[in-house]
Amino acid sequence: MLLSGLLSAAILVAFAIGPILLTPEARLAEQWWQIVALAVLFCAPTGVAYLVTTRQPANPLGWLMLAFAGGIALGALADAGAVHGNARVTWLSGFGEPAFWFFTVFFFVLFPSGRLPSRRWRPVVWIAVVAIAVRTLSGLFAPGPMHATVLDNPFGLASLAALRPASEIASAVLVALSGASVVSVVLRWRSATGDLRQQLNWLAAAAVVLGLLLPVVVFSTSLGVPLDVIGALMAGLILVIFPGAIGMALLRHRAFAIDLVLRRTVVFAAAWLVIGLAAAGLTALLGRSDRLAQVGLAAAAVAGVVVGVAPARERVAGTIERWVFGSTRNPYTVVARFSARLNGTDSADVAAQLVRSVQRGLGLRWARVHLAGDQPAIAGPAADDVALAVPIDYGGVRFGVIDCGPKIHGIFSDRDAELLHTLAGHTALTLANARLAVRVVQAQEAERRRIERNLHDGVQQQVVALVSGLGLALEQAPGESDRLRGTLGTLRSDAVSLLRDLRELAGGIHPSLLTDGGLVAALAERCGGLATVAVHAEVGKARYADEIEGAAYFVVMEALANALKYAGASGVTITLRESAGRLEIEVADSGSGFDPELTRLRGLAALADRVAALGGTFEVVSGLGRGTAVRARVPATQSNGEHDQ
Amino acid sequence: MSKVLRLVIADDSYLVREGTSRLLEEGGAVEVVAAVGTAADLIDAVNTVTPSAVITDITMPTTGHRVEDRIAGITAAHAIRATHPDIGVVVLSQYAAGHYAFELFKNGTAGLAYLLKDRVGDRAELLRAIHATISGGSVVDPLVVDGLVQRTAAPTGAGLNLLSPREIDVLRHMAQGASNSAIAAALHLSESGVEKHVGSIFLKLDLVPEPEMHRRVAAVLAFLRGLRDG
Repeated sequence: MLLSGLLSAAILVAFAIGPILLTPEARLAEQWWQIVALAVLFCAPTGVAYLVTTRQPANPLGWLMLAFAGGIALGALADAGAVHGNARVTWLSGFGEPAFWFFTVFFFVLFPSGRLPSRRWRPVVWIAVVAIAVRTLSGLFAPGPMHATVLDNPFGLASLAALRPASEIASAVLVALSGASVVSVVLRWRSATGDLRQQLNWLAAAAVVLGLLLPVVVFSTSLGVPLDVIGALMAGLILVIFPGAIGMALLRHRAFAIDLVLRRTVVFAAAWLVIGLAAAGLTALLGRSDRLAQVGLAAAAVAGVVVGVAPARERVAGTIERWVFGSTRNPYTVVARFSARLNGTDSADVAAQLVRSVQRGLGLRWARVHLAGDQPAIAGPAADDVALAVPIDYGGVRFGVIDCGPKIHGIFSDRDAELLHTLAGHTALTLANARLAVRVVQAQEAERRRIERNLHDGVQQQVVALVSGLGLALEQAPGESDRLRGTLGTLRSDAVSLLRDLRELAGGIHPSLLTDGGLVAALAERCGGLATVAVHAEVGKARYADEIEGAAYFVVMEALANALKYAGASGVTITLRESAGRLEIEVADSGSGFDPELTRLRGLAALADRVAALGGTFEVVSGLGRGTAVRARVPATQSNGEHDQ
Repeated sequence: MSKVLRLVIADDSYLVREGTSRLLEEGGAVEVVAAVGTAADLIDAVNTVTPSAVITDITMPTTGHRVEDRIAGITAAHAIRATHPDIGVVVLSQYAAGHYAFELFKNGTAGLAYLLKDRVGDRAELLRAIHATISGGSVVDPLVVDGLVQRTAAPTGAGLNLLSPREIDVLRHMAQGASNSAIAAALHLSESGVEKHVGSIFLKLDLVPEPEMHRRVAAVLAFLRGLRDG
């Protein structure tokens, strides 16, 4: 800390005092503002370097910046030396050379962690070290003029003259490596996520701001502002903007929604470019160079961009956003994708999809979706710091609530709240629909049970009474009246047949065993007498909700009937298994099969609807001569234990 | 039938109750001492009049309300057998599925019969079942047993897989309460042949020597269990 403080102070003093001491007195009055500006501007990188080295002493980036500032300070001394004709002072600046190069080559590679991104960079490090060594040695000991001055090197050694061409090559290598370093940081930025992304965003923001200044420069020069003023202004801005961005990235990157700022800046930059190009283009086209015309044209171009091409600007913004941020955060896209994912999911999946969409779409630290009767679905490290809670309501029914943690950056905007309410609305509608569909199936199931009960209690009992009445008549018939006894006996067995048919009918509408014994028992009872049918039930004695068992049972019955009636199957295998919260039903036969393209599946189509209404899936796989497999997957909703009698 | 049989009949349908009563009372060998419409009334009647046997519907309201319990008759049968081991209980049912018969026999088969309502027109068959239960035997409707046997080509467990197809046939008839002579007639075997099969069944099912009736019941129980688990 002390070291860092002393170095920083020394550098600042060098910037402030050095030029004053070394500037010829006669020119001091003329150049004073340059000296002050230099000192003030170098406060920024030096100050940032001081802050980083004191707060993150282990991070080499701070020291690299400090070295860079020191190198520049030595460079300033060299200029001063040149002005005074003092070759020794200028020679000293040669020691700033390695600091400058280490910074330009390595800063972007090491940013922001201070470590190399991968081991592949190691050869680059060695090449750079050798090149910098050559440059430095050449600067210090090669004979002839030093740097960009006319002063001869006071310590130049004739024997080392060969260093000069080597130094030129080293320079080229170092420039290339610096370029590679910048390319690497751009590539990393494009693929980065999370904190790294935010840190790199600061650099990106700085680059964008500088890019933004470019048309200003073009515009200004064409307006006649002297080039050296613009150059000084640019240099000053670079010296403030880059260190500022670097300091923010390393020390305070969590504090600001830089991505938001960056996004808007990029959009404005693009607009500016358009305006600048338009102005330049029009000027060239019309061959007018008077300033008034240029200002007027520029204004016209601005108006044109703002008024005429607003939709185009939106599109440009969208394209840039996609390019810059990869996946889009456009709320409409978030909603559309969410809706697409909702198709064919049950409520647990809905919660999982929603929580993911909310957390990613809004950039939240965490999000939690709690649907009534379900376990909450959570994305991110959920905590108690609920920043926003949005209810999932539809038609006066509360299905659950979305709890949002704080945003990773910034605060909730109106747009965020709007997006949340839209997502909640979609979810509620989906859940209401799903619930309605299940209720329809449940009602159908209940209706079937009611019909079965009515048959049992009504007409079946009456036939039973008829059977007993005929039995009584048979008992009462005189023993010698064989014809009467014969007739009564026939009537009685007819009534018994009628009773059995009724029992079959009632069982076909809704087997009582399905309610009392469950799916497996009902299937075993029904298929037991069929030698060619094998039932593989891997669900044990598990009981599912009435509508689930009903749908599964009738899927099997319909598929079985098709297999036996039409396919002429020699073997049918019925498989029941549960996996990942779904009950899977498969009826596979080795029959003739059919072409699914040409055959309408009347009975199965109704069952497919029934399965879909329960949030399940249904498929029929068949082909001529290849047998048929009917598969249904329904949510394995457990029975609540109260099977409606 | 020197003694008049005292019966309680339970069925929530008045028509069935009356029809069954009149059929059984025809000829004077049976007296229906109570005819009730709910499971609770059935238990009350049994406690009050102590009949020789009970014929009950399987599905009835438990009490006077219109809430039906599909196996109220089975629950009542278990209660009656627990408190009055000498009263035979015949459960009449509309359900041919073995599941309900297993439910009735889950604590033992003695003194219990499971008949389909198809039988209410046949006085002799009803009386046979009633007498079988009174003497501690058990009867399962042939239709139900047929369904069970068909459903399980080779019953497994409890030594049942050791039985030959013929022995399974014999056991099936035993389950229906048939005597050795009745089995012999049904299967076109000699009575001594049936006795040999029965002895072999007892041996294979590892049933210890005890009174024949108990062993027959145990064999039937093993048979039903084997069917259910297999």
